[in-house]
Amino acid sequence: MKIDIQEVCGKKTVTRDEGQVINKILTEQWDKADQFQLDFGNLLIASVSFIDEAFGKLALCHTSEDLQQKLVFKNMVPYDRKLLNDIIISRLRQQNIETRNACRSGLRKNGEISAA
Amino acid sequence: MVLKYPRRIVVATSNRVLNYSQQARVSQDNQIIFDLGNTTEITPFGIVLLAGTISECLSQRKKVRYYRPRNLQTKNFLSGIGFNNFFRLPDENQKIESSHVQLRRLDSIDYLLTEQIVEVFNFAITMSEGLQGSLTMAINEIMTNAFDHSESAKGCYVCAQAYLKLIRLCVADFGVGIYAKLAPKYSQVQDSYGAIKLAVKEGITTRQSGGFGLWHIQRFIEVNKGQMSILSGDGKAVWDYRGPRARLRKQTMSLPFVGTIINLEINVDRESIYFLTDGEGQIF
Repeated sequence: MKIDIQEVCGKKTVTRDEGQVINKILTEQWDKADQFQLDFGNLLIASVSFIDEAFGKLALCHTSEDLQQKLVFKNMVPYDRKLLNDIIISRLRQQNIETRNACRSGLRKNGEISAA
Repeated sequence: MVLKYPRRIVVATSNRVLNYSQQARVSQDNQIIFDLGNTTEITPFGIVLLAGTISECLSQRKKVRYYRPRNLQTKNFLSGIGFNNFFRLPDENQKIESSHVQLRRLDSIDYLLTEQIVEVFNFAITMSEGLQGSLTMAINEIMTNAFDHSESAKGCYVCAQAYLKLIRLCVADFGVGIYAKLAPKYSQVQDSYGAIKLAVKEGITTRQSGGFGLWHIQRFIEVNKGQMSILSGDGKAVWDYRGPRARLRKQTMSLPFVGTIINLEINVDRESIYFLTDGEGQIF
């Protein structure tokens, strides 16, 4: 599945709410799609909020291997790629049984994973 | 009981002030007097300890009297960091300083407060977005420890001060302490100091996951050439990276302190950019 970030978000790539638009697509299609090709068109995002909400929170639910297998980040500027890695690694550290169960149960509240 | 506090209420005088704190908490006296008349220097370490101790005494229904420092600067500092406000003390010269994180007692994680702390850090040093996010998570984990690990229903006390070229942040809880939590799971732990040292190692936790908060912060402090002190039980460990040679100092308290205090001193450094190293791994 191809997702053109600029097409979906336009210039709205800053806030958590805006990141949630992408997260929602990924979460809803996670089991259906083999792979997500996320094309950034070399757009600089540089927002920890957006990237954390869109992709970081997926790392509370899935393993590093799953994420690598499913997500392909294309045309991403080096700064954003570094930021993405920082965030994903930090979120992977936070992952535990509670966050994984919450993901499975789909218990999401205001963008935060709540304990099951 | 009258507790005449020393001129300096700082990490360096922790043996004495923690002793006072324990004495006040276990005292059978109905009235405890906290006399800061002679105090000329108090840091966030002293403030959270004093606030927690007074709160404990009040919850034990002891009568508490508090004598303010005579030193005007110290008196104004306490006012500016919200100490008077915390206890609703009358305060004519109250002027809240925005460069500080006001004294607070937390019953649960407060993400806004963490953001505020990182904002104060960010004012002092240039951090990458990634490091800001990572530090935020580390601070959240420290606070989660204070609630979960400490088994303290009294929450934790937090405040921070931006002063000249230094930021001081202190988080304290009056729970069971690090040794009591780690000893049942890690048999190699022999005493409080050993438990503190172990708690800072990567992946050490009594939760199902975590154990990266203190480890991550210690690494940050190392790069920043700052100082991290952890006090719990009769143990005190100070990671001091300020001089040319990094060192870990050990001290044994004369009277065990029931609780845990984490004190950070971070250098203001706007010249360097702090970010997570590539060694952290690149998965994308």
